[in-house]
Amino acid sequence: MPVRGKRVTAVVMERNGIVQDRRDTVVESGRFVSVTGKGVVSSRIKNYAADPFFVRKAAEAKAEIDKVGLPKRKN
Amino acid sequence: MNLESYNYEIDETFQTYEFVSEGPNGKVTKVVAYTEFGTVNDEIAYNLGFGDIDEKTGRISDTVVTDNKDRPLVLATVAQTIVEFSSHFGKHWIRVRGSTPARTRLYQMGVSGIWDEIKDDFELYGLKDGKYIEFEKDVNYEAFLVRKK
Repeated sequence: MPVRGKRVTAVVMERNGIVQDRRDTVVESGRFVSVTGKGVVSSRIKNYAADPFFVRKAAEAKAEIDKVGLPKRKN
Repeated sequence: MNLESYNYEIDETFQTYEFVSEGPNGKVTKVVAYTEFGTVNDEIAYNLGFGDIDEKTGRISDTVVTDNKDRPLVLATVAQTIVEFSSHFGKHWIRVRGSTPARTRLYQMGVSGIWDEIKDDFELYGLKDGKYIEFEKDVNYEAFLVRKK
């Protein structure tokens, strides 16, 4: 498991099981290195998903989807 | 994706992503938040919300024009969060729409630029004439739905 403040080399891109690119990143939260290699989990970051601003946007999205429907999934 | 983008920080639920835009107008904190808006036809869908955080008030705005001359970096970073979110949450629908038609058009330009790179991994639909249809480059859409295959 990554350690807080430790510099690690993360996989940035993988295709067909072959690593295409790696990049150094610093683990700031000490818990998780993201799949893209560009992000770190941080307890400093507030979860804005329930912020009224974004809830209002989500309500607009729901109204839109209720009206037009979702596309059919590809099999 | 092998595009240059900003590093970002993720909240512990993997629903919020913050990064800092840097350019001629200084540093601006950007936030991408994925808000579930319910189940449609037994399928869970999220809205991708995007805006600037006012450092003084903590309030979010999607009408501010940052003009930091880093549009490709910002769009690539937003795209990276879709990859991140989908890897964590699975094959849920994500709806994307700009706050104005011009901003939706920017998303479209961003998507068109990376479409060849992501089309093997994602389904993408655009809203046109009242329904979602499969995405094609050079067609203008009002909104987008994306889902990991």
